[in-house]
Amino acid sequence: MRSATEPTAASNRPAASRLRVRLERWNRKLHYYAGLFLLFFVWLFAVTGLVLNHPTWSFAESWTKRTDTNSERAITALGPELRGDLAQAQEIMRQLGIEGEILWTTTRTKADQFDFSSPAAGPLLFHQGRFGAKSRHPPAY
Amino acid sequence: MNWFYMQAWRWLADTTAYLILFISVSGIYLWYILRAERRVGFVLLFAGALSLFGLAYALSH
Repeated sequence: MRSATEPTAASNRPAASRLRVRLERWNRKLHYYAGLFLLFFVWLFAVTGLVLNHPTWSFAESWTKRTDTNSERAITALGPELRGDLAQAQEIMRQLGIEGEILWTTTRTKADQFDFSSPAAGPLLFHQGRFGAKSRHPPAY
Repeated sequence: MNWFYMQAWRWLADTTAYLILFISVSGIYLWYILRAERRVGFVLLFAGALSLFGLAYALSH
């Protein structure tokens, strides 16, 4: 069987027709080759899109399979020179030896509680009402 | 999903994903029966898989 991308008998056709045949052949090749190269990328987007669209599918359910771990680390009290949540979060991360972006600091609902998150450490929860601090590390899956 | 537009979007997204899976699988069959394109096709398929997993590895480390 002749391949769909093999040249046809274009030698006895007019130039415009030959050009069209050549373009069509390269278009087919480009379609095949680009499609094959990108196949797994396309599948990745299709499957992840389905999983995001159906969070109740059991095989995609990770929250019920999580393992919670908690740890406490002592830090020195934060001084008054640290103005604002960002500066305090940076100081806490420095003391804990954590480096990375601080994603958000939430509005404090309790005066002695400070929540923030860093991709390097997951969600962190600090109670600041005493000398030490308590951190809650992210669940390990 | 209690808003009509969200339900419509969900249906549309599902349809698109299933359609993409179908046309890619049927495309693989149509490519595979073209013997002349098989070798270069496998090379590109392998290169694509390598790129994807290489990218995933690089992003996760």
